[in-house]
Amino acid sequence: MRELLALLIPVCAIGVFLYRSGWTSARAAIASLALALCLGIGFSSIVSTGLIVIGIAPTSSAFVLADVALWVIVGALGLFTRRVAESPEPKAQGPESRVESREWLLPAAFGVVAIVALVATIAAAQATPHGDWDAWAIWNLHARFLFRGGEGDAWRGFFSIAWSQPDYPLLLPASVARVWAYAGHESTLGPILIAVGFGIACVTLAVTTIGGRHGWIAGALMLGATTFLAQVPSQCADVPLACFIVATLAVTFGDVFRVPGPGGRSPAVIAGAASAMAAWTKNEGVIFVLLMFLIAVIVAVRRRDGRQLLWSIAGATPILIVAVGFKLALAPSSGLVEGQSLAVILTRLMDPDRHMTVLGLMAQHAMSWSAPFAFAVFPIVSLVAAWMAVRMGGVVRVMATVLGLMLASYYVVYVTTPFDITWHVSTSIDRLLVQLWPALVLTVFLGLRSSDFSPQSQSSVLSPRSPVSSPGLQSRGPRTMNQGLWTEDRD
Amino acid sequence: MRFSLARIVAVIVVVWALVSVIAASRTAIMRGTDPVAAFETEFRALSRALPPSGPVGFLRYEADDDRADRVMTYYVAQYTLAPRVVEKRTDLEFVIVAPDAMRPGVDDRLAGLMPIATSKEGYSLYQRRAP
Repeated sequence: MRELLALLIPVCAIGVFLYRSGWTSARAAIASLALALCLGIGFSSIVSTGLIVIGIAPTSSAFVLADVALWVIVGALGLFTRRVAESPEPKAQGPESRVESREWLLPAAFGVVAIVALVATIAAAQATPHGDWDAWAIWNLHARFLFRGGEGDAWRGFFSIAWSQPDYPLLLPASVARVWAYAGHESTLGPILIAVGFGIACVTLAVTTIGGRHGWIAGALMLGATTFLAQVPSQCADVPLACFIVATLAVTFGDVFRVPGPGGRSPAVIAGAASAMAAWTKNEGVIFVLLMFLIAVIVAVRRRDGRQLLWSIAGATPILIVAVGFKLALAPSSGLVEGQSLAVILTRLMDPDRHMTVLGLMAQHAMSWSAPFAFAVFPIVSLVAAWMAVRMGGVVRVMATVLGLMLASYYVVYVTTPFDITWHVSTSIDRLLVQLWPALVLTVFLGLRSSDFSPQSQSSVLSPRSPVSSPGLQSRGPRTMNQGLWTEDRD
Repeated sequence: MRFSLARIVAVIVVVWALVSVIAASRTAIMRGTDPVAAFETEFRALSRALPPSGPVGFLRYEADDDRADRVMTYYVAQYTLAPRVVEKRTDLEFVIVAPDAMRPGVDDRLAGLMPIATSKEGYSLYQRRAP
């Protein structure tokens, strides 16, 4: 189980930092653990990539020693960091504070769903220990190059294998290689643990961010989508990407990570880091980073206060430097853009047949997503999110807009693809919807929760410094949300 | 207990989720053996005769080279033999030959090559003879 130890070391180090950020409630502690898990895997992949690039092979003991030493230093720095003082204000209470006599039923039901889902995940992982096609043909293949070829330059060999998507970022392969380095050999347990860890972190982040009975229902809905559940043990990068998207949205728009006073910069740094990790996980994450940056700029302009934007940039920059450096200095160009001229892309965009084909295929796959036990679950939840965005405004509108633009960008990529459209859409759209599913559920249930607050509970949640809504993001409904970085301080 | 629309929706979602995850568990448990593991055993038997890195050839199938199962064979060869790079060409020092990839009779694509290792299922590794 040295694989598990490899994962826990950075989780503990980052967990110390998160604890020092001042999050004290049980809900925040669990959310912080989930956040530490995904950020720990992410940051450790950057360290591993750095070690391999400078010539320290994962098969050497120097690799593990250097890695352990670095994380011990990080943890120690965290211990010496001044803990942010707890808020003198009344502790924020979510809707879970309104406990009814049968309120245990929902957590219990979610617990049963989660346990059965875990059984399904473990059984699938046992049946396909190397993961799905893309896992062994792309992610674990790259991991093997990094692990086996780390002593010389042989690890760069996968850059010449065009069919294995050599331009994909290294978060997942470097994490797997690192876990193998700790284990001392290649094991199928390593990538399985990483895959399941991301799945658990993703669901936990959404459930804890939403909180209360809405959180439990959201978790059940998320796991009930069998296409999402099947992707958890697939060892592909879609669930990790979904996890970083949820982490970013949870820290940015949720109230679970809200901290008072000077510690208020921590969520901005963490949100920036999590969004940048999305770009270091998969190419689609680049679109997400750009959208989140755009939102941060809009918020900064509206508030006439760029501090949160700067802290977000500070959190994202080190990771983006690595991701951009990888793209520019190491990886070949993406098959989606290689050899494509602007004229060709515009011609494809103007072709109505291509639009009809992509629309038809996307609609068809979206309707049957998670079939046979769900019909149109993704479109229905999307429609609810869109309706809430229009009705409620506030963060629900912003989150829904981000997800809508992500989906729109996928659509444009499909229309302009140099590959056969039917093949491209059919082999990838289900996974792209998996990337957005947890964030979509988070959006809807954050909106439901905010609309379900009674005036009493709302007054206990809203601090005196917090407005009811943001100017320019005004709600049409009676209540809006007061959350995370989105909270606008008027003082 | 008050039966509001919200409660009914919550019950439907939870029951649906439970049915879905039970079905997913059943599907996962009933899944057959992983073909990747079986192929890997074959190619691992050949890897001992190969240098630790460098390019390795792979003989194209005479017909239907892009058939899914044949693509999978080639991809698993690459997956198993990394960090060597497996290329679909025969002008290299070492060439992997799948049992059903050779032409009937004499395959002139393998001229100058001789088999040096064979796996249980008939996957062979050929090496170029000294001129």
